[in-house]
Amino acid sequence: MTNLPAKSERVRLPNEFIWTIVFICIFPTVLNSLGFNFGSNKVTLHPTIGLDLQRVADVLQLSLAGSFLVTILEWSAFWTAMFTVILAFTNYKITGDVTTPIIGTVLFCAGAMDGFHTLIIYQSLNGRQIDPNLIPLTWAISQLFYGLLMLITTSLFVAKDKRHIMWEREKGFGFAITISLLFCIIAYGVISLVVKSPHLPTAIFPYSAISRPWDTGPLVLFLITGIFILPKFYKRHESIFSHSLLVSIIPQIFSQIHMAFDSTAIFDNNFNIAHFLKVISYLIPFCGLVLDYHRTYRETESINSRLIIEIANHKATEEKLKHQTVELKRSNEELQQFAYVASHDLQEPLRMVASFTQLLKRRYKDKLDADANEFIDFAVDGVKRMQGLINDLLQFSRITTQAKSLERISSNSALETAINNLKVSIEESKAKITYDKLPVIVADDFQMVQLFQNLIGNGIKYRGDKSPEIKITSCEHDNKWQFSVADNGIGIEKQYFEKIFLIFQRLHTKNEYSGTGIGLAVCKKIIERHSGELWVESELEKGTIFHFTIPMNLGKAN
Amino acid sequence: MDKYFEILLIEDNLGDVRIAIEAFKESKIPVNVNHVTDGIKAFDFLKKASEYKNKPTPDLILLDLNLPKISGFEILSKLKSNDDLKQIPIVIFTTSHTQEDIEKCYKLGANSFISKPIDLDSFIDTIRVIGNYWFHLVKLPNKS
Repeated sequence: MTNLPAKSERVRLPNEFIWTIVFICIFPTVLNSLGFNFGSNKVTLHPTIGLDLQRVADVLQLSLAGSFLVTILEWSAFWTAMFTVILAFTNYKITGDVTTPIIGTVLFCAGAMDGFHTLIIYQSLNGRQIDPNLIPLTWAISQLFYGLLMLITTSLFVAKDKRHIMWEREKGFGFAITISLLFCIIAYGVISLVVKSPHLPTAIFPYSAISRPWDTGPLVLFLITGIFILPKFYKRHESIFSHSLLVSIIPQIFSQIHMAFDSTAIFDNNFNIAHFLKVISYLIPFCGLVLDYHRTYRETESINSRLIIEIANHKATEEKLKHQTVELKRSNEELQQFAYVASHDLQEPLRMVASFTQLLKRRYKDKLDADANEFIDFAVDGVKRMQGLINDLLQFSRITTQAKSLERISSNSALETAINNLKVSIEESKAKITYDKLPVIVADDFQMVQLFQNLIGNGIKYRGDKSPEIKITSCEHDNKWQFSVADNGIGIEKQYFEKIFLIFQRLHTKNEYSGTGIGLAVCKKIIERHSGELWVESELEKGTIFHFTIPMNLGKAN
Repeated sequence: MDKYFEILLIEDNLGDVRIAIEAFKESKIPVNVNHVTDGIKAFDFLKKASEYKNKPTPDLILLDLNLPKISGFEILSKLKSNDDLKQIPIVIFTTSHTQEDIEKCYKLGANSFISKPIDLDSFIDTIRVIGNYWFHLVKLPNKS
């Protein structure tokens, strides 16, 4: 036994099991050398016994014991094969490993051939005149066919490359079953031919070194299969079952050695040992399958327990997430409610301050000095700016609170509406606006207008000395529509690319450029609501390009 | 001759009341502004209950929506389903801009919906327009 490297988890029969098998194979020989005899040699009735019925019964029992024993052993082998094939097919259903049912079928056929062989022995009990060569011959035939079947089917799996596993699955299965059944029929035919044949070749040569030469054939086959084919087979289809097949060849070989070299008569010592070892040989794959089941069960068990833990973890996470989502939604709603209420309720007192300071100026302008008038102007200006901020905040919160559902709209007409809304400032600044035909998208119409209006408005507002030129384009990109609004304005420094999208963030004093700093924050929020992205590309003095994307397959989600 | 038009202003913000009164003053339209701060007082006024025994029936009602106790919508709906009072035109005069509020008011039978302008000049202009429209342009029903 070679020492396998660290790959500890080899799927195989336990060593103790193999040593037990080897021991079982040698044990009968050991017992023989100690004087035990398993033979049930024929005892003939001797006239001296007379009519002592007890003696007659003893002699009868002794003379039939051999065939009884062998029949029991053969039937055991047969039924073991039957159970093995049932287990094999169940195993196939569970694991989908095609080798198991194929080999199972082979075993079944071998079992069936043993059945024929047994029937013949059984017939011999009926007192019919049977050729003494018949039983050894049928044994040799059934062993030969079993050996051949095993060799061919396992070679089939060994010869085929792993890439052809599908071939094995679809054709190999049918092929193996076909040859198994074919062999079964041939074996049955040959056996019945042998049974019916009036002149059988001699099968037992008691004084030759090879007492049963017919049995050397199966022996050679088992040796080839056991040494060359099955180890490869096991390597390729590693399982306890395939390993047990390899191990099951050991008692088969021992069995054939006992038969071919030492059995000189039917029901003799070696004949019986051979039969016994054959049962053992059939039992091994059966045990292999049972152990396979055990292993599968243990694996499933451990996977299950891991799965249960994972599911529990998953559930806990999900629960936590759910909770957080609810919490987030609630705080979001609260925030929006807050923004809305604050804006509305803040407006009232502000309006009072503004109105009455204005009223003061209106009524008492002539009675106040220049300072007082200036103070009033500052107060009114402050209030108006405050009102602007509150209005913007309100507008910002409305992007989600008072949003319409997303529908298929023409972004082209949204753009045209935006341009129309900006008509006055476009005319004033003599801006030149050009655009491609824009696609139909899934969006909130009103918000798209607002978006274009803010972006184009910015382009006009931050125009520098040149007269503004703004170009709007769109392209398809990665399952999204990508829009670009490019201007030739003053540009933005790279370090501010993030900051400009924050609410109320401005890069200029209100004396340079008016506004509260809400426009791009609104744009960003609109795009986020549409599951898109908004980013900027710019160079100082050269111009700015705002890019934004709208997914093509955006559902009607909000 | 000077016939005074009677207005009932239902408004809880005394600042707005004052500005409205000042605006009517500036508009030179002969208007007498009567003022109540909530819906209950408004009904007392219209039914000439004890406190308002000698008060006139208004030619026009200016109604704010955001009021304590009874909301403007409720007052509107009650007035418009009262056979004795529903002929009096009601102008909703509020800070609200929302389309929902606008539709709701017209459905309840409001005669106009006007958002309060933020700027004082516009506010005064608006009051002047209201006065001119309802007291010069429109023919009002006879008071019963």
